[in-house]
Amino acid sequence: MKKFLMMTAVGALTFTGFQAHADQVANRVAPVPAPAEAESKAGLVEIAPVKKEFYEIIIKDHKFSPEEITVPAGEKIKLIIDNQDSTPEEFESHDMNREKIIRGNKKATIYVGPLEPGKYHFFGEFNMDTANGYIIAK
Amino acid sequence: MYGIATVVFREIIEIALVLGIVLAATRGLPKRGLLVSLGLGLGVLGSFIVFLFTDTIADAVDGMGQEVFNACIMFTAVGFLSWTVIWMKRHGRELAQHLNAVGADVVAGRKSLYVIVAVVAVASLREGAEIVLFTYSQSLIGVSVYDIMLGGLIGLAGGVAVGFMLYFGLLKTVKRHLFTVTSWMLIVLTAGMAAQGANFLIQADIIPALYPQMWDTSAFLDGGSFIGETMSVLFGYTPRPTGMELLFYVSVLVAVGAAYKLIGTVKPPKREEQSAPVAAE
Repeated sequence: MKKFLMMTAVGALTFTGFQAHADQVANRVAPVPAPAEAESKAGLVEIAPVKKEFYEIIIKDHKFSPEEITVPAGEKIKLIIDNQDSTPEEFESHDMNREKIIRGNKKATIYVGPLEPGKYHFFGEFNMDTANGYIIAK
Repeated sequence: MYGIATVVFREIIEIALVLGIVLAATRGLPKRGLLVSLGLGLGVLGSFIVFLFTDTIADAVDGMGQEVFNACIMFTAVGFLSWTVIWMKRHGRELAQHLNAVGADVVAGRKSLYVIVAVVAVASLREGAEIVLFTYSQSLIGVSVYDIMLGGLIGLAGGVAVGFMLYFGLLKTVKRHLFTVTSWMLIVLTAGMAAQGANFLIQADIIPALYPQMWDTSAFLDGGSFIGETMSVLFGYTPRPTGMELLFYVSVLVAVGAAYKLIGTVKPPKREEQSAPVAAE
């Protein structure tokens, strides 16, 4: 288990580079969901990862909202991606081995996991510059 | 424009790498150029048809139509590629001895050659449809036709260059055992496609993952890197495979690999007796 943790952490580091390293360390030391007050009101960000029926991620202006969601490790998770842009987007993640096209102004369901604890990157393949996010499994 | 080129390039290399190996494996096959062109033409046509039916496909199977469709394409490709490998083993030596196209045509039986068309068409269909959808979405957000065309062409040229590098690289480096090497490459690639097909069904929650993460090699080779994506196409590399993917991978590898090893080559002199059983090696 420890080994898995280590490997996942190292994997996430390599993938996201130094910037994310700083983020992650900061998260470990003080897991404060500071930039997400607005979302936490809507119940989208949780400190204690209790499994929810589904997790909704909105795509608007080619960005994900929230850009980070915390989910319980070791559970299969149902993601609902709500694309509020008029253009299609491809939800993709190499870390979680997922890809699905979400049409403009449509929702789509994607199942991920069960995940080992760690930080998993996902992105919108059609707008890689702006559409990035992380799923954190705890 | 460079963003467009990058996305198109990433989709095209997936097609180009498969085609690079298929072309190397079928070297010396009569009318190969025509068959591959026909396959590509059908693939492009199919990509537009798939694009037109994006909504229908997406809404099917309770919103999981895309995964089911992708899995079907993957499994179809697995079937055609396995067939190609085994067919080439049976007839390859024979073809090599009748290098003039007319003679080889007679030997092989032309109908069987159409499996090449199918392989190429299926290999280019899925990523092709994604390129059509992507470029369409770019036009929706107001990117000029000029930028889309130019970006698309740069991406296409880059992808095709990678495919040709693989093709000529194979021809140059493995001269004597080209056929054996490319056959095994196709078998491994086929196993990877089977695992990818299984993964689509896991994503749709249609089949279980069996075991969520067999291992994690993302620290050594990130799946999103250029090498990682190339390895993914060539060997089915994925940094965190599930038990089900591993099961599909190993099953196809063993089944097609065993068929390849066990099925004999048709002996060159007996031109008419193609169906005669030949002792295993």
